[in-house]
Amino acid sequence: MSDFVVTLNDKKKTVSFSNNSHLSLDNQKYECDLILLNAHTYLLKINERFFEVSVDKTGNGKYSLLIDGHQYETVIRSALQEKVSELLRQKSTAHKKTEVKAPMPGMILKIKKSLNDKIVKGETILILEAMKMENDLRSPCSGVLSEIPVKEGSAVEKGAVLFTIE
Amino acid sequence: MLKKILIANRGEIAVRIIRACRELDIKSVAVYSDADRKSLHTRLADESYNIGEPASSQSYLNKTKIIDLAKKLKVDAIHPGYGFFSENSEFIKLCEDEKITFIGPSSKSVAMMGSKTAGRHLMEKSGVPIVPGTTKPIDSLNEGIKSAEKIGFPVLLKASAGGGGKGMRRISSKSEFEDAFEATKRVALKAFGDDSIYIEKFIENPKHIEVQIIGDMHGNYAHLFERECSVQRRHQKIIEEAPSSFVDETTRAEITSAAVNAAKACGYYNAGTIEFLMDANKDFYFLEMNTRLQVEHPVTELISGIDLVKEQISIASGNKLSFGQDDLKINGHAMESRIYAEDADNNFLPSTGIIYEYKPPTGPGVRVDDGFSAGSEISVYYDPLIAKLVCWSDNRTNAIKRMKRALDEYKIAGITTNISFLKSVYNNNNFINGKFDINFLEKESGALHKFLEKENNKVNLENAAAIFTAMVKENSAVRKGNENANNSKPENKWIDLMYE
Repeated sequence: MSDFVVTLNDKKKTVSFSNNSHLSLDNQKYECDLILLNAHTYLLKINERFFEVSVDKTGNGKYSLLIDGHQYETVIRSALQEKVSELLRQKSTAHKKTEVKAPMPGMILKIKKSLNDKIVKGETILILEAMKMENDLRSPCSGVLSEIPVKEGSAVEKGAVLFTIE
Repeated sequence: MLKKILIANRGEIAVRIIRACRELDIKSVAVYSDADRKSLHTRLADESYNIGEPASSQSYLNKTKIIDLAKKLKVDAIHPGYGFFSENSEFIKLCEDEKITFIGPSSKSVAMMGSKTAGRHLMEKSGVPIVPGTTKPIDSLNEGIKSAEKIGFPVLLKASAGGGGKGMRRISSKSEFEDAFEATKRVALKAFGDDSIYIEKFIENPKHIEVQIIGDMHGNYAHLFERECSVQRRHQKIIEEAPSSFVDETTRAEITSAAVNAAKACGYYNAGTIEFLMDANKDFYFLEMNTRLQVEHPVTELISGIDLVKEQISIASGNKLSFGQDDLKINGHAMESRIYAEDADNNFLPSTGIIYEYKPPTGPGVRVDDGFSAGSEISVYYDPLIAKLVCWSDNRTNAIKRMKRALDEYKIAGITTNISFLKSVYNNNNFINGKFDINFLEKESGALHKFLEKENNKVNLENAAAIFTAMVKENSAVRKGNENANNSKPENKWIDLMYE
């Protein structure tokens, strides 16, 4: 059986299977059972405890889970894939760009910063009006505002890039 | 009694009203926009009509469409719920002209109380204490600055036509005034179609206490005690309870009689709410009157035993109140959590999407007023309220424990909700001990965040997530095997036994 690396909450956990119901997680052994309830819900039994898990598969080994009211985004790779992606990541961190996308469709009400402004993490870059509310969109990191492809008054779709911090 | 009611609303409140109609043997008519085909109210009503495009102005806020439909269907009455037309005196006037009963107060009372400045003026005249501030809308920036300086900073700028905390802004000094003045006007115009605003003294660290009142068309009034709604984010309530643990018997007697006086002052009938701010000395000030059913009405229903929606319908039919003040007493304690589609980690930003799994909690003392099911969509067009979870128990401590249990059972998958955030509040010692005011969430944000982080990093859940992901990936045979099992019909042993 094979080894996997699961990434969640910026942590990596290694799972290796002995057989269908026995596995070890970071070298700790567990007896597990997985039971399908309906298209989105499983029961997962780990040793003596049942968990109800809702899952939405988003593709590319990515899963969105709800367990006991907690949301987890997990990514699974085989041990080999994990090594490759680790190498790629090291290369790309040399020049870091952070894109902020629209979390929902809406209208750009006001842009508070200009191109090439120095930005401190948490500063409001623009105000997006959606769901009848004015929502401050803040920068997730410090850097320079290098791109801002939207204008005041323009409508944006969910997922549209609003600004880039470098 | 009324025979057929059109519900000019959506979401959980439309469902709540349809349920009351069902129990009263009244036919219910739902209306829905293109974005709400999969919402719950459309399928629970006896009849449902599409009223157009998702934007509220094209559907739920289109007076002509709704009145025309009501006339065509010959409904006896329209229930507005909260929001939308509930406090729109023009709409109520239209209903009155068309001889359609509006389940709410008269257009006259709403016009009197609807404008927050006129309301303040009326209260001052009737001897109800008000927060110091302007009793007239302010027209110019200069006039505003002058008034603010006279009242003394910090002040609040508020929309005259507003409610629910929308378009409210705190100003701590003269230099902030100009920006805030324009922004408040802009929000007011967009949200309420009226950009008049006024100034109020900012009361430091008050509690939000409100009194439920009710009156009939025969001049009978009663109050149904107070609610405390101090836990707010962006000036919007997220947790409400009844009674308030801060209000003693003397204060209760004072504040409830002030509320009844307020209702009498505007010749009010139907259910209404008088909102007050209460400072640390238990002095209270009139904030505003909501001339409609409140979102948080269920906590009052649970401690008083009165069904407010049925009572509204009965009053609108011309009946007298079904109870008197002396019939009422506070029974136990009730709490309500508003379940919102929003991301508490990201400045309470609303979230949208399709709910792929939905399972509300049940069991003793738990009530859920909801408006969606699995497959429903939370869209960008409306308020992100998904449901209200209401718990009752014999006292506040047990109500909190019950609420924690119920929140643990609540399952909504597919969109980000505030359920975990609500849990962090119910686990906070200051909240548990009743030591909180309207700035609670801001003051405690560090502690709440810490709790959430700890919860989200629970090792056993993280392990479960990791093991689950690996098992689904590795063992797709599990899925296949079970799907086959599901397709084969289970044998019915009873049939075999019957022929034995």
